[in-house]
Amino acid sequence: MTHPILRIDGLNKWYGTHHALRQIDLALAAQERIVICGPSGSGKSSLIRCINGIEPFETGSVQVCGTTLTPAGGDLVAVRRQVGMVFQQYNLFPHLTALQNCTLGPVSTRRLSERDAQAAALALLERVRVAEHAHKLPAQLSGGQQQRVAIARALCMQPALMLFDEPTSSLDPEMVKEVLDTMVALAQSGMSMLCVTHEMGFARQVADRIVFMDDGQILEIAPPHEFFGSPQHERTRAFLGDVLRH
Amino acid sequence: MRFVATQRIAPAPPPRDAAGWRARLRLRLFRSAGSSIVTIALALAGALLAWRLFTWGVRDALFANHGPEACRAPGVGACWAVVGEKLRLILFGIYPYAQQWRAGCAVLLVVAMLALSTLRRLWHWPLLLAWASVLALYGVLMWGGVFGLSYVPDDQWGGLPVTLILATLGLAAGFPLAIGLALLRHSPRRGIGKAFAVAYIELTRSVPLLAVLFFASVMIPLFLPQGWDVSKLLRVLLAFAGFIAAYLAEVVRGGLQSIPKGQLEAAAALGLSRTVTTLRIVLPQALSAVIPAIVNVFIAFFKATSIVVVVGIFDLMTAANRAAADAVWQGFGTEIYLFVAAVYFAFCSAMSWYSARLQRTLPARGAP
Amino acid sequence: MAGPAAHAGGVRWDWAHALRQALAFALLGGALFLLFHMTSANLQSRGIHSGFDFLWKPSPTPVSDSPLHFEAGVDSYARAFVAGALNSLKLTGVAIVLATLIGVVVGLGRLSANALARVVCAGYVEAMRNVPVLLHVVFWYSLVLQLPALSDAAPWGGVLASNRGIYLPALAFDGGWPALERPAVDGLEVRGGVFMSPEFFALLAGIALYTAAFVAEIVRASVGAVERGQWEATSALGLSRSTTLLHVIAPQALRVGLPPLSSEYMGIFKNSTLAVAVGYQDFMAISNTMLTDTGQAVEVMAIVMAFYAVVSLAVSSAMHAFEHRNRRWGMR
Repeated sequence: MTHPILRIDGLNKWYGTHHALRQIDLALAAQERIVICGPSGSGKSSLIRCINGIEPFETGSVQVCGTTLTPAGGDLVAVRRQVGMVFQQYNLFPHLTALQNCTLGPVSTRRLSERDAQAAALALLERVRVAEHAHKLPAQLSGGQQQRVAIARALCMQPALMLFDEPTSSLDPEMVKEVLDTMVALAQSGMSMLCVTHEMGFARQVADRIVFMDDGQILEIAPPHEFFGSPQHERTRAFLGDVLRH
Repeated sequence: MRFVATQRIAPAPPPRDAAGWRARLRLRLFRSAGSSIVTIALALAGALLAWRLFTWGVRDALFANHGPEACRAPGVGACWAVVGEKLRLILFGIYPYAQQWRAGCAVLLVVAMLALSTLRRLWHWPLLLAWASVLALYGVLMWGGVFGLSYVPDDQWGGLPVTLILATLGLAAGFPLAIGLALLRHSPRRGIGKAFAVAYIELTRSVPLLAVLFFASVMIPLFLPQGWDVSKLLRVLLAFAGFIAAYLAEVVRGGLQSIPKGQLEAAAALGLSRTVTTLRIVLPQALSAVIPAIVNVFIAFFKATSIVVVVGIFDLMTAANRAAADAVWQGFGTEIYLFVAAVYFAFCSAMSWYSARLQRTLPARGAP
Repeated sequence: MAGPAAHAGGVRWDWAHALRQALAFALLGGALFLLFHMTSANLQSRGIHSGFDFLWKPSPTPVSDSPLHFEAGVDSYARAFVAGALNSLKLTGVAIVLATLIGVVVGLGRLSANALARVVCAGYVEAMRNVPVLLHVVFWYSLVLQLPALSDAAPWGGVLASNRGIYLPALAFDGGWPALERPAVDGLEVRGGVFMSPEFFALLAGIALYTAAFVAEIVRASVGAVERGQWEATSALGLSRSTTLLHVIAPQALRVGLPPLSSEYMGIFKNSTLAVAVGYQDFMAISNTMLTDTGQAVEVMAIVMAFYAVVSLAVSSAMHAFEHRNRRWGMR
C-alpha cells in the first residue's frame, strides 16, 4: 500500500502487567473502511484510543497523516486535528447546545470565525439529520440523536480519518439503525473510517476489510465476503459461530 | 490484503522504565517550562521557610526552663520552656493541682474508649453500655465526693478533659434527638411533627454556634422556675446537644433516603409493624450507611468546642489563652498556640484518617 | 401519601392520625406556653420591661471601625446594630473573596501534574483543616500584637505592619490615572493607605486561610466529578488545555461545586461571630454589649437570631433554586 493514511507498526501496550495489545501491525489506505471486531477484552477499544493519543502505548509507532507518534511522544495536536473520534458514551458537553458542541472546536482552535463555524455546523447537523435540534441541550435529545450530534461534532473539525469506538453499543435497538445509516452515508461519501463495532450487518455492508482481534492480537484480516464466508482462523470461526447464532 | 495469524503471541512482561528514576523525576517536576518554574519557586520558598523555622524553632530555641528572662535574651528563638512550664495549666486548666491525676485518668479513659469504638468487631449493643459506664466513671473521677475523692465543682474543671467531654457527651446527647428529628422530617405524612422538625433543623443550621451558646447561657435561666439553676457547663452541653442534633439529623436523613423502597415493601409484606420496621430494618441500615459522615460531624464539633472560651467555659482553648496571657511569661503566645494547635491537629488528623479509612473499607450498599 | 399498610382501616386510620396531630399540637403549645410564662415571670421579677422601644434610645457604648459613623451616647441602639451588621458583612465579604482566591489556587494545585505542587497543597489543606478556626484567629492576633510599634515599623513593599494595625497601599486616583498610595509614617499618625485593625486582620487571616482549605477540597472534588469522557472528548477534538478548562470543565465543575461552596461561604458568615473573642465589633459583639446594657434578653436574642437566620436562609434557598434549575441538564 503506498502512502497509507494510517500505519501502526509493532504496537504493544500494557495496563500494569497485563499485556493488552501484542505486536499490532496495521495499515489503512485513504478512503478505506476497516471494521475491527472481536470478543470483549480483546483490546479493540484500546487500539483505537492509542491512535489519537488518548491512551499511551509502550512500544511501536503510529503514523497518522504524516505525523508519527511514539512512546516518547509526538505532535498530538497535529494528529488530533486530522483525526475525529466518536465515543460509545457520546461524551457531548452537557451544558452546551448541539450547535455549540459543534462550533466549540473550530472556533477555539481559530480555524473559523463564529459565524462561519455556525454555518458549517448547521450544514453538518443537517447532513446527520438533527438540524432541527440544533439549539437543544443534549439532555433533551434521545440517545440516537445525541450520537449523531457527536458524529457531526467530530466532522466539524474536517478530519481526514474518523475513529468509531463502539458507537451503537449504548443505544436502544430502535436507535441503532439511525446511527448506522448515518455512518453508512458517511462511508459512501468517501471518508476513511476505522470502526470498532459488533454490528455485523454494518460490517458486511460498508467495510473494505474486517480485522478480528483476540487477546490483544490481530488474528485475521479479510474482506467481508471472505471473512464471513470462509474464516480461516479457528478462533474467528468460533467467534462468528457465537455471534451469528444470536 | 488477507492475513491470518500463524501462532498466538504469548503475553510478555512490560518493558521496565528504560530511563529510570531520573526520567520519572523529570516527568513529575519538570515536564514543561511552567511546571519547572513552579517547582523551582516552590522549592526555593519551601527551603527558605524551612530554614527560618529551623533557626527559630530548633537551633536558637530554648528547651530547658531557666525562667522567662533567659528566653528574652537576645538571639534566642522559640521559647519551648514556656510549654513545659505551663503544661499542667494547658492540659488541665485550674483543676486542683494535687488532684490532676484524676483529670488525666479521665482523659485517658475517654480517649481509650474512642479508640476502642473504632474497632468494627465491637459494634454491638454492649458497647453502648460500656460507654455509659465510662461516662459515669468520668463523672466520678472529675467530680469526686465519693470513694474518698475530694469534691471538685465543675466550674473548676478545665483544659483537655472539658474539650473531650463536651464533644463526646454533646454527640451522645444530640444523637437521639437527631434520630427523632430525622424520622419526623423523613416521614411522608404532613403534620405538626414534620413542620417542627423542618423548622428546628433549618433554623439551627442557619445560626452561628456562638449565638446558640449565648442563647442557652442567657435564656435557660429565664426558662426555669425561680431558684432553679443549672451550672454553666450543663447549659453549654445542652446547647451543644441541641446544635449537633440539627446537623446530625440531616446526616441521618441522608441515610434514610438511601434505603431502597423495596426494604419497606418487604417489611410490610411480612406484616411487621411500623415501629419494628423503623427500629430493626430502617435505622440500622440508615445509620451504618452514614457512619463516615457521622465521624466527620464529630470532628467538626471537636474543633467547635474551642468556641466555648467565649461563654466562659474553661476548655483547652481557654487554657491556651490563659497560659499565653500569663503576666510572668509574657510574649510567648506563639509557642503556646503552636503547641495547642499540635494537640488539636493530633486528635483531628487521627480522626480524619479513620474516617477516610472507613469510607474505603465499609461495604457498599448491596454487598453481602 | 401514607405507607403501604395504611389503606386498611379506612376511617379509623384518619382518626388515629388526627388524634396524634392534636396531641402533638397540645404538647408543643403547652411547652411554648410554659416557657413563655416562665420567662415573663423571671423578667418581671428582675424589673426588666419588655418591648422593642429600647432600640430608639441612645447607646452609651462606642462602636469603632465601622463604615457607618457612630457616636456613643448620641446615636441609637438601632444604629449600633446596623453599624455592627455592616462590620460583620464587611469582614464576611473580604474573607469570602480571599478564601476563594486561595482555595481555588490550592485546589487546582492538588490536581496539578507537578508533584511538588500537589504535595505542598495537600500539606496546606491538612495543616489548616485540623486546627480550630478560633485558634487560627487567636494565633494571628498574637502575631500582630508582637509586631514592632509604629515608631519602629518600616514599610515593606508598600505594606506597613505594626502592632497598631496593618496598612496596605490604597488605590487612589491622581488626576484621572489610577495609582498606588503607599502608607507613610508621619509622627504619631500614618498618612495614606488602607487600614486594618489587628482584630480585623487576625479575623480575616484566620477565617480566610482556614476556609480556603475547605474551598480547595470542594474545587478538587468538583473537578474530579466531571466525567472522564469529557476530558477524552476535548482531547480527541484537539482543544487546548485552556479552552478545555475554561469552556468545558469549569462550567460543569461549577455546577457541582456551587452548593457546597455557598455553604462554606455561610460558614464564613457564621464564623465572623468569632469577633467576640478578639474584640472586633461585629453584630454579635454589639448585641452582647446591648444585652448587658439593657438586660432585654428576649428582644436582643430575637434580633440576633433573625439577622443570621434571614441571611443564611436567603442564600440557601437561592442555592435550592439553582440546583433545581440544573436538573434540566440531566446531570447528577
